[in-house]
Amino acid sequence: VRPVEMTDARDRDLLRRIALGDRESFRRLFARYAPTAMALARRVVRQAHLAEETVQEAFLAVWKKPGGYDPELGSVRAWLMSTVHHRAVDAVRREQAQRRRSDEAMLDAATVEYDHAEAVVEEIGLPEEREAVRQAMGSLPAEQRRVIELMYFEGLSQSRIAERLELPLGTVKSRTLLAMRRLRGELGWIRE
Amino acid sequence: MNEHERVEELLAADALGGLSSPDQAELEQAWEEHGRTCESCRRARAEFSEVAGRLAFSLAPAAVPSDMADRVLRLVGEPVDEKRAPEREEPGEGARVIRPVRWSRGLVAVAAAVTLLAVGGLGGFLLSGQDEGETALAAFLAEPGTRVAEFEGMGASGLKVAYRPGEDQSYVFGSDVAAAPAGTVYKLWLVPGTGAPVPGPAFSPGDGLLIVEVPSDPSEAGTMALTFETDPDVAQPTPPIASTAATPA
Repeated sequence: VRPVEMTDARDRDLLRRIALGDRESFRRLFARYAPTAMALARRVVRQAHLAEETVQEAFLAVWKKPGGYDPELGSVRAWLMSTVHHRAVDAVRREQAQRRRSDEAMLDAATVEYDHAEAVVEEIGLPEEREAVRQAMGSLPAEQRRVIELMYFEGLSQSRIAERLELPLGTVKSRTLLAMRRLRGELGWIRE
Repeated sequence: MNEHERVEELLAADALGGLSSPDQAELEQAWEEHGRTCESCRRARAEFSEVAGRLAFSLAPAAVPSDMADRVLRLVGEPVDEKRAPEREEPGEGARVIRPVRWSRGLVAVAAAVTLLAVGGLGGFLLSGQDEGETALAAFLAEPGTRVAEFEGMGASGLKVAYRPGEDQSYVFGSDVAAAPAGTVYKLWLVPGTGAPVPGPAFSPGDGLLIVEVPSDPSEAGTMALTFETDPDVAQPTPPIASTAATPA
């Protein structure tokens, strides 16, 4: 059993306990994934307080409705991060009209480095996961990776990406699909 | 482009949060008319959801406020100082059973079982789960120059503090630590020879083993103390002092 598979089993067990009102299990799930959730939220919304709100809302939803997880749709960790991501994208689109992004206020995407994690000790299995995902991203052609980064980490729609990169919308859509197919193959997740 | 391919294209962008409103509406319609009953499309939706969620793990993890989990529980009116769920199941497959262990210098099998409730002047860091606690404390204890002091009056399996003079990091840890009196939590303090005590993290022990990281060098003060407090954010210790540990340089 690979460490990351053991993590899957433990996560599902934690969710079952959370559904029974087990606060300690909630804290364990939070401790395991909040650092990644916070990194994702910060990357998307780029404002510390908004990132914190986003993560807080996402985990509040987990506590209130752990049954929202559907094993048919994949792993607990992917579901959790998707929950955070959807909220972050919603938040950033709400804010886009009213704010200017400030490099001083939050991490700039270009300066995010992978070795800033001294303060966070890794869960067993997650280093392997991080390496696998980074390798999968690294396997993409640069033009596909750019589209994925703008969409996922900056919360841009395909239309906005087409404007930003001065590409036909159809090209952005096809690059998105090709990239996702490739990532699916690289990450090797197959629904049973 | 056939129907499968069109839906797949929309699903790929949807998983990444990249659909514009018109495309979102198109996906919803196509899903109702075709995707929901199409095994191939349902598979694509599941697989793209998984891929998108896991992209987050390409980022380095970020620090999280140590009281954030309890803030979430407070938002729904949950008490945060209860250490057990009213009902517990046997651990499922893959779950780990944590058992008390004897503490020793060469400790390699420890786990965190603690709820950090608040941080004061010393701050405090919520370790990311049991395995993180194990890893961090074992690594800290293995470093040369690490000292371990015991809190007096806490019993044979009570709390200890591991520290290295000159380093702004220490760990308070213990096995089967008794619960604080009803309505109170443990509160750590650094007690310098002169001047007011500096507040540290407040915590409630859980089952088994407890590890709290304190980003401070206790040898600078020379003494750590524990009190039981009703307010985890209290600025001054409430007498009596429950226990002290000498942490000389």
